[in-house]
Formats: sequence, C-alpha cells, structure tokens
Amino acid sequence: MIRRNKITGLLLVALSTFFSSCEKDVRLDLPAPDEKIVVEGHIEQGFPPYVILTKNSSIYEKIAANTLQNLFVHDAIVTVSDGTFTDTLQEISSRSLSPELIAQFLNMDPDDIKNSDISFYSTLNMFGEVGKSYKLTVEKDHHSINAVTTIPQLIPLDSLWAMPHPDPKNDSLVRLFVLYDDPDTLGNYARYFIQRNNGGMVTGYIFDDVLINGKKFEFELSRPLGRNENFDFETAGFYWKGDTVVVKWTAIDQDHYQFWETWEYTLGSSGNPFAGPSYIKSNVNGGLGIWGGYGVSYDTLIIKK
Amino acid sequence: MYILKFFKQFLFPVLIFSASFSLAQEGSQKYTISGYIKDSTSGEALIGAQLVVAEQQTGTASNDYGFYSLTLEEGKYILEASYIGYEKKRLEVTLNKDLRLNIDLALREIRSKEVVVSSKRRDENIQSTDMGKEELSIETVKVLPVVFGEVDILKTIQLLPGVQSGGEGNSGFYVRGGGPDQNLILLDEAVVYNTGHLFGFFSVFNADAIKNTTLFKGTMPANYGGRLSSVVDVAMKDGNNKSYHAEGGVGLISSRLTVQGPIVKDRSSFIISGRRTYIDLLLQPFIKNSRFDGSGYFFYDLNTKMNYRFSDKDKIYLSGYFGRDVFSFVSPGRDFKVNMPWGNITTTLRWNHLFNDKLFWNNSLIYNDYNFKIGASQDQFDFELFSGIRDINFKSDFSYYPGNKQTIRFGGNYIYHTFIPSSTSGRSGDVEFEPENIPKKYAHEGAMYFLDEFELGSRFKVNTGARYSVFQQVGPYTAYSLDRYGNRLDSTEYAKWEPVEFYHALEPRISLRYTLDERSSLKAAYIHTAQYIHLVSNSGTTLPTDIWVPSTKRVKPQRGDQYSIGYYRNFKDNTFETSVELYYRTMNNQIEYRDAYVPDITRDIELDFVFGNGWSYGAEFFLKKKFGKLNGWIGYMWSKTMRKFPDINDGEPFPTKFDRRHDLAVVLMYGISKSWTLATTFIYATGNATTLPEQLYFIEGWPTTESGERNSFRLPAYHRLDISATYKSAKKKKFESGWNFALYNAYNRMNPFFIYFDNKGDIYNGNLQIQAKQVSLFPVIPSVTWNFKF
Repeated sequence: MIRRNKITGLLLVALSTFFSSCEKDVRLDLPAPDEKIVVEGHIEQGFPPYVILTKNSSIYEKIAANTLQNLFVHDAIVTVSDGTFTDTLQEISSRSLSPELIAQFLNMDPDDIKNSDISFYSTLNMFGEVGKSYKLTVEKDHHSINAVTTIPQLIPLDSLWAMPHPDPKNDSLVRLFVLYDDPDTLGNYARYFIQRNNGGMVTGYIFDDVLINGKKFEFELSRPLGRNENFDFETAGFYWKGDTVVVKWTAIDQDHYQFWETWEYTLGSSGNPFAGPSYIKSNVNGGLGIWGGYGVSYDTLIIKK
Repeated sequence: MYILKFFKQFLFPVLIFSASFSLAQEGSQKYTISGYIKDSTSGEALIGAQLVVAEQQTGTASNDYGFYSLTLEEGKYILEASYIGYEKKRLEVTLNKDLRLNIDLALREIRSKEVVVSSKRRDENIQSTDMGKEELSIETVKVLPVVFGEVDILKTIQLLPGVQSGGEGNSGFYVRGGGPDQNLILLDEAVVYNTGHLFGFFSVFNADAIKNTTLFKGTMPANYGGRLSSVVDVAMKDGNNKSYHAEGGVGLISSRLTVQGPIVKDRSSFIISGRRTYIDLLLQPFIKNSRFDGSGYFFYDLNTKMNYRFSDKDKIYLSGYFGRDVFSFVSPGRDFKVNMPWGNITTTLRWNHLFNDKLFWNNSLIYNDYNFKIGASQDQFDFELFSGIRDINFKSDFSYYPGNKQTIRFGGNYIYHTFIPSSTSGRSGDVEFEPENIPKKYAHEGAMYFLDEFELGSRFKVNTGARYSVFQQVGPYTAYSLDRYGNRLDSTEYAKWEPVEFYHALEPRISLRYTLDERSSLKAAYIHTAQYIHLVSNSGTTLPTDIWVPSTKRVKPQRGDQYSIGYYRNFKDNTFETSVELYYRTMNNQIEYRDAYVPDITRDIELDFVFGNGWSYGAEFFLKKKFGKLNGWIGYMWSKTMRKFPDINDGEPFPTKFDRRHDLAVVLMYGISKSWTLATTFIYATGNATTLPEQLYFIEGWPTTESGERNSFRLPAYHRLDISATYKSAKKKKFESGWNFALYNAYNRMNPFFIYFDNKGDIYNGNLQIQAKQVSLFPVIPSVTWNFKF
C-alpha cells in the first residue's frame, strides 16, 4: 500500500532545496463556472443515508460564514432506493440535534458544527446493508442528478499496536501499526478515519491492494492532519502516549475510491508546478461530489502511557 | 516483404533515374579529387568545411567525418578550402587522374576580434536547399550568458526562431508547435532520451566535449527519422591526434575537465571529458545535523571518445556518454530513506570505409539506455521502482558523389527497443510484494532511406528523398482486455518475437531552391513523417519520471505533414543574412493525458492516454549579422498551435501549452578587444497557456477546486535580459585562461513560473480566504566561471 504521487513530492523537495522561489499575490480574471449541485452523501451498514447538498462557486467569491449558509441547497427532493424500496429523505437542520451526534453521523468535527447551521437530508426508514446497491436521486428546480454506490463486504483490520518513535529523544510520540489481511481477489479499496480522545473523526487516506493483493501485510497508519491543524514536522503522523485511538476502517467500491483518489491528488498537487490540470472523478451524474457506500469496521487502541 | 516492395517500387527507379541523370551529363573525361579536411594542429575532422573551385560556381562540403569528394573535368584548378575561424587555403591541382588530397586548415594565428556565428560559406543560406537548418558553433554557445554560468547548447538553440523554450531556465524545447518528444536529439548518432539534468534546468551536453551542433526544424533530410518536429545532431570531438591537451573550468555549481591527445600519433586519439556539480557539497554544512542530514543531490557527465585510422580507407570511432543524476533524501528522525538515480548511457561504435573516391560508407552500432530508479525504505519496509528505455541500433549509411554537383545518400537502420514501464518490487519484513507488473514492451523499428541533391539548370536545386519506416511490437507480451476502470479481464499471451502489432509509413520529402539573383533565393519544402515512440508529459518540462512508450494496439504512430516556403536575402556582401519562412503543419494521433488522470505506477500509462489531432502555423523572421566586431541575430516568430481531442474540452479545439503567439530573441555579441567579448540576449515570449482552477466547492469542509477548460488561461508575458562578459588571455601563451561573468535576468523580472491558489482560514470559522499566488523561479542571478586550457 504505497501512497502515490510521492515521487513528484520528493522531486519538489529537491527542487525547493536549490531554488529560492519568489512569490507574489495576483488577481486573476477567471470566468464564472456553470452552477452545479455538489453532493456529499454516504451510507454505512446499520445507519441511515446522509446527504449534504451545496452549490459550487467561483474561486473568488468571498466565503464568509453567512455565504456558507447560502451554499446549502434547500428544498430538494432527495430519494434513495435499494432496488426494491425507495425512500424520500427529509431536510434536517444541525441546530435541531446535538453537535456530537451530528458529528458522528456526518464524519465531522463537533467544533465545526457548533458554529454553523448545517442542512442535511436523512431518513429513519432506511438502514444500509452490506452487499447492497443504493441509488440516490436529487431533484431541484426541474433539474435531476443521480448516483449509485454499494456497501462492499467488510474487511476488518487484523490487529493494531503502537511502536516507539525511531528517535529515542521523542519518547512521548508513538507510531501506530496495523496488520491487514487482504482477500486474494484484486480490487479491495479502503478509506480510514481516525478519532483521538473523543475528538472529531479526522479523514485519513485511501488504499488499494494492487501491490499487496492476497497478502497479510503490516504497515504504519499515520495520523491524518485535521483540517484546522497546522503541519508540524516533529509530530506529523505520530500519536501520543496515553491516546485512545479509534480507527474507522472502511471498505469502498471502485467508483467511490476513484473520487477520493482524484480528490486527494487535486488537494495534494495544489502548488505543484509539475502537476497537470486537476479534475475530480465524481460518481454523480449531472453534478459534483460523491455518493459513497462504506462497509465499516471499528478498532480501538489505548496507547500505554 | 515491405522492404522488398519499397526497393522495387521506389528506391530502384530513383537510383536508375539518378544514375542516368549523371550519365547524361557525362561528356569529356572526368576525375575525382577526394580526401579529408582537418584541423592542422589537432587533426580533428572539420564538419561542413567548404571546398570551392575558384572562379566557378561549384564546390562541395565535407561530411560528418570530414570527407569530401569533388568530380571535375580534366584540367588545372585552384581550390579554396575554408572553415570559419581557420585560415583559408588555396591549392593548385592538376587533374589528369583521380586524386587523394587531405587538406589541413590552420586556426588563425592572431585571434580575431570577431565572434563566429556560423561556420558556413558566406552565401550558404542562399545557395543550399536547406530550410530551417541552423548550425551552432561552440564558440557562440560559450560566450552567451546562461543561468549559473552553465554553458548549454540546448538553451542556445532556444534562441533561434521557431524554437521555443520549455520554460524558465529549462533546456527542454518545442519546435514549431510540436511536443517535446518530437525532437530527435542525437549524440554521436545515439538517441538521448532524457536531455535534462535536475528537471531540465541543465542539459546533458557538456560543451567542452562537443564539436558541432546542427538543428533541423521542419524539413529533416531523409537520413534522419522517427520524429515529427526536429533533429538536433550533436557531434562529439574526436580528440587531438598530435599532442596532449587539457582544458576545464570551475563554475558556480559545477566543474569540468577535458583531457585529449594521441594514442598513436596521427593515427589514433582519445578524449575524456567530465563534469560534476557540487551543490551537494556546498549545501552539506547547512543540512549537517538537521533533520535532513545525509540528503543531497548531484549530477555528473562523462564523455569519452577514441578513434583509430587503419588506412585512408578505414577508420573506427568508439564514443560513449554516461551521465547520472542522484537525489537522496534521508530523514534520520523518521528512519526514512530515498535514493533516486537516473540518467542516460550511450555508446557508439562507427566504422568509416571508403570504397572509392566517390563512395563513402559508414556503419554504426549504437547502444543507448535511459533509466530511472527509486528506492525507498522505512524500517522493515522496502520499495523499489525501475523504469526506462533501452535500444540497440544498427545503421548503415552511404554517401555517393557522382559529380555534377550531385550528392546521393542512402542507407538504413534497425533498432530493437526495450521499453520498461514502471516495474515495482518491495517487501515489508518477510512479506514480499508481488505486484502484477506492467509487462515490458519490445519492438523492432526499421527504416530505409534515399536522398538525392542535384541541380536542375542554373537556378533550381532539388533535394528529394524518402524514408520507408516500419515498426513492429513483438512478444513476449501479455495483452489484456479491460473493464471500464482499466481492471484486467482476459489475457492474450504472445511468445517471444511473436508479432503483436505492425505499422509502416512511406515518408517522402522534397525541398526546392530557386535562385532569384546572387543575393536572394526562394525555397519551398514538404515533408511527411511518422513517429513510433512517444513521451507524454503532463507538465511543461521533462521530468526523470517521464516514460517513453511505443506504438501499440492502443497507441497509434504520430503522423505529421509540414509545408514551408521561405525567402532568403543577404545584404552587404553577405554580412547580413535575412530570411522569412512560413509554415503550416498538421500532427495526427497526438497524445494527452485524460481528464482526472492520477499518476499511478501500477498502471500501464497508455490506458490514461487520449488521442487527437493538432495543427500549427506561423511565420519566422530572421536577421543575422555574421561578421565584424558586432554580430549576432534577431529571431522573431508568430505562430498558433492548437489541438482537438474528442475527450478533452468536449471536443472543442484548445491551444497547446506551447502555443505562443509571439516569440522574440535578440542575441548580440561584441568583441571589444582581443581579450574581451561582451554578449547579451533578450527574450520576449507570449505567456504560456495554462489550466487554472475555475470552480470551488467543499468536500468534508475542505475547499476543493477543479480546473476550467484546458489551457484557457494565459500567464503574463515572459521577458528577460541576460548579459555576459568573457575574458580570454592571449593565445600565444602555453597556458590559456579566461573568465566568464554573467548576469541572468539582469533587470530582475519576476517571470511567472506557475500560479497556484492558497487558502487560509476555514469555511466553518467563516474566515476562509483564497488567494492566487504567482511563483517566479529565478531572480537576477550573477555567476562567474573560470576556464583554462593548456
């Protein structure tokens, strides 16, 4: 499970070592994009579907707190079908529920929710089942978009453990390792989330099994960087002694994987002069974003002091 | 089969025609004078030296090995041999039998103040059929200012009209709207697949080891093939066969040393030339004990060549190039190590044989290899990646000088290619990874060619030829049928040498020169070319990770047609050369990466290609002053280059990255005194077409941007002024030394290298700010280089 694009990243390190670059702010005249609906929807086994609908905007639009509210798409007709049963999702305001609960549902940080009113669509009549396909349809102002996803079979981690930092000077930090037993058919895709000490779920990275198909394999599960966390070279990727770490390990299908793959690449290649144009492969027909099924398994590790 | 057909239907009739054409002209008794033109002090063969019959409009030029052959009617003649920078030599010959005459030309004793821009006969540009051909003298290359003072032939080539720079400080280039893979770059006939060190900021050519550089843009002679846009033919020095010499230099980032001398005097010589950067050594104190202790980067080049003359009829040459970039990254605190070497190796073995004084034969056996390797490890985890291309090439070329101002060349070559896509291996503790690696690809590439240059009457000169090329992908290979994601389904196995795919092309070409008067001529040319191997780059520059790929079932050969016309006129006794050339070209089966392409080492990259067509047209204006204290040139090009791909931009045409409306280069050199030369270059180019993010949305709270239409945004224009001063001590001393002072980007223009978007704050905190930032690479950079020679 090798993270891709590392090569270009390394080349960049080399480049920046030798050339001091000069930077200045510029104002560009870019055309406004066509308005599209952005889907952020997911369904896990045992849980109802959740769908957040927003609009895209031009890069320069001032995104103040109130404009975030303007981005939500309200009063859409959102339905989810498992092939036999179709249900219409209700629009819900995050103000009506506790932030911790919402954070759990939406894979978010409770702090984000405390300051905002997030509008999302859900239902209590449908719960995800492993192996099933789900079709999402969104209708708004006579415009219809749709997407299909599946909840793949779970592939739980075999075990997880902590290892000391390679440099004994940093004895408060540890590395987290997992043992993963890959099924012998090619095409198992995974995405993980990390929760530390009852904080929010922080999105980790994605994996495929091209290099390790059918192998029992141990590797480091580095701590992902939270959205509001500044990068610190000393601590990046490491955990702390005494942490309670929850790993949410999910199996995802290939379309779902490709969305996060292109999304990660786009985010990671920002500021890389050698990267090409960035386009994200969405599974939403007629819109942007992702409608993704997750086969979820949880593991908890209490790291000794 | 195809080769036989080609012979029967094309080559044979032309040969008959040419022969009968020669015979028809046969009248009185004719004799041939032939031999080699050489430097009198070093014995170095002079390429393209002129031999003219005084008071007659006839003559010839020496070939790549210094050989010439001239057939004249019986009689007494005065011949003038000349090569710029050398004393002209007059020879009286009585031609009543075939004559062998080796001509030694002496370097001018007194250093002239003039800097040599071209080494050609004064009105060569008017008289020849060449269009878009330029020769660069190493003298010129050495006095021009360059970044960090690293002398670079490829950067000098970019100053010619029709040749566009690959980017700031980059040695990569585009010719007339063609992609960077459409340039055939040869070092002693061996293809150099990756010409850049350090992301292309420096080229692999060490100027001390180089004798001659010729650029063909547009109409390449039929002896070259396999690329659509241009040929850069670089010839290495042979080595002094009379006495031992050394030269070298110490520069800002690298040092050079060249040693040459005779092995057996007048019969055999060698040259060894090396260059190594020492950025790593300079940076060492700064990274010592830092978190990157042990990291570093360096590159080196080694050129070697030797030759042995058995007799006047037989000579062999062995030359080689070996270059490596090595980047290593170590993070001791994380127990993380990366080692990344990459580079080219070329070896050329050549045998010249003279059948008789009219027929010259050269055979070359060439091996070349480019490879890239990355090894990474972190405690028990190891990973290795390897990719590259390897060729074995055999060439056989004949030059036939039947007389009547006619030159016929014919020959063929065969290449066996091995393409190694990213192949990975690794292990974690005891667990070995066994990835289903992308299969290697093997291919035969072959060609036969014929070209004939002759005069028709007193005003017309014709250069016509054709190349018949074949390409065959062969086994061992496993072809897969794929699902919509590119996952493998069924497979077809091909055994060793079993044909997988076959392509062929007839590539005719013709150029005509019509002399208007002594000072001006009109020329026109047409060429059709095919290219069977490809390199697709997502970025504007060549990277070590770029992979050459063959034509396969999925990837079709690139095809090009180019039409050009030109008007040439010289002024003031050929002191000023001017020309205007117009061209129009089409390029089929061009390749780009598909939208939403993510580099993936485990996937055959051809699956991520999309295909379409391109076209380009433009006008090139050239004014060159070749002689005098002040000389140099001004080149300006207006052009437009577009592509149309069904899978990109909804099938609408879009400009290529290298579409540049205006491209201007001014190059001036001024000899102040015998010791000092000043040089300056000024460049102005329309900004690159680039793709920028156009829309913004939020995924899990992360600001997510997506690009707009391909290359729909123009960066600001690029312009830059460079200045240099070169000092050389008097020639008479045994030990010669000199200094080169240069100022790159003299007025500190912040040229755009790229633009990116930076975000601060967070959407949920209501303080998100997105700002476009323009990054420039090189501010004003002074440099100094010390050179010596003895």
